[in-house]
Amino acid sequence: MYRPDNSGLPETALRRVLARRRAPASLRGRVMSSIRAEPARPVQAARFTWPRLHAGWAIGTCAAAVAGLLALLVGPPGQDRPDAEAAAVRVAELELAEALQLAGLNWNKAQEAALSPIQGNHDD
Amino acid sequence: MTRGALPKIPVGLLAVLLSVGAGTALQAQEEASGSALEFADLEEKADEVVKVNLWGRSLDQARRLLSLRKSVTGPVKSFMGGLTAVYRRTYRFRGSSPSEDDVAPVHRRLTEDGWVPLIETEDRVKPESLSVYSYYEDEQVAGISVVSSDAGEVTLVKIMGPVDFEALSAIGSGVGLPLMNLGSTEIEAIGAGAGEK
Repeated sequence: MYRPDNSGLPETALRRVLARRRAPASLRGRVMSSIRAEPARPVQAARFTWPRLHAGWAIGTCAAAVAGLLALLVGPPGQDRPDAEAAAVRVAELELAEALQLAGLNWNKAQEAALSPIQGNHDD
Repeated sequence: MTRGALPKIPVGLLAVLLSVGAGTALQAQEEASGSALEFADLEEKADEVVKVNLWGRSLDQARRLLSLRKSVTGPVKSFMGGLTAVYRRTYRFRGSSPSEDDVAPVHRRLTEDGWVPLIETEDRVKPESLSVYSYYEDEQVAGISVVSSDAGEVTLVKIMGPVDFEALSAIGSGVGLPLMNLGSTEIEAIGAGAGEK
């Protein structure tokens, strides 16, 4: 006679445990009857579900990403970008020098132009 | 789920405001000053445009590096140390020359922003003009702007901060700042002048 292998079923496993623990017969009977009374639940295949993000966490994550990006762009120079940083500072130095020299040159020219008629009068 | 999410939304928004808003507050203030120097008509007509915006960290790093140069004198170092921003706009023209109408918005913008004309010169023969404006805060000079225009170029230099006119004059004479390999022909002229002395 064919006897199905039901050793893996929870009911069989529980019966084995109760027997090993020498539980009273009345308790064993109550437990087993409650298990049998439980309706068999259909086995469901595992379904893939997308992680559900709360709005707050989503915004917080975005904020952290933006803050990280800003820190990367405008923050203190990292060890891996010393050349680019040095080049940018060098360009800024040239720009500052040129702007000041242009302003100074034109300031001198304007002064000369403003004073030239007065000098002309002195010559007369 | 709804109860849990609700308090998190303000927290998330606060994080956004803190991360983005705090960093951009000072930036917006200085950029507003820089963006006030946009002249669309000139830019459209020019063949070459140079824009320099130095303030905050970039200005600090630039002047620190420049101050390390041997030829920089004490008064020039002191003058540079007080500056809060330096802006430059140069519009170069190869074919057509800029007209008075093209340059007028530059002068108008400065006067609208409270700059006072200090010296205005204009050549009657050649299409050349030069204007110097100053800016006052609490009756102290808090900035200087120079607008120069000729047949091939319109340049505006705006310097914010206490102005040491003697130091500025020394810089214009080729003293106090090192002459580097700069592109402008006017700067080359300073170099030639300093070499003759």
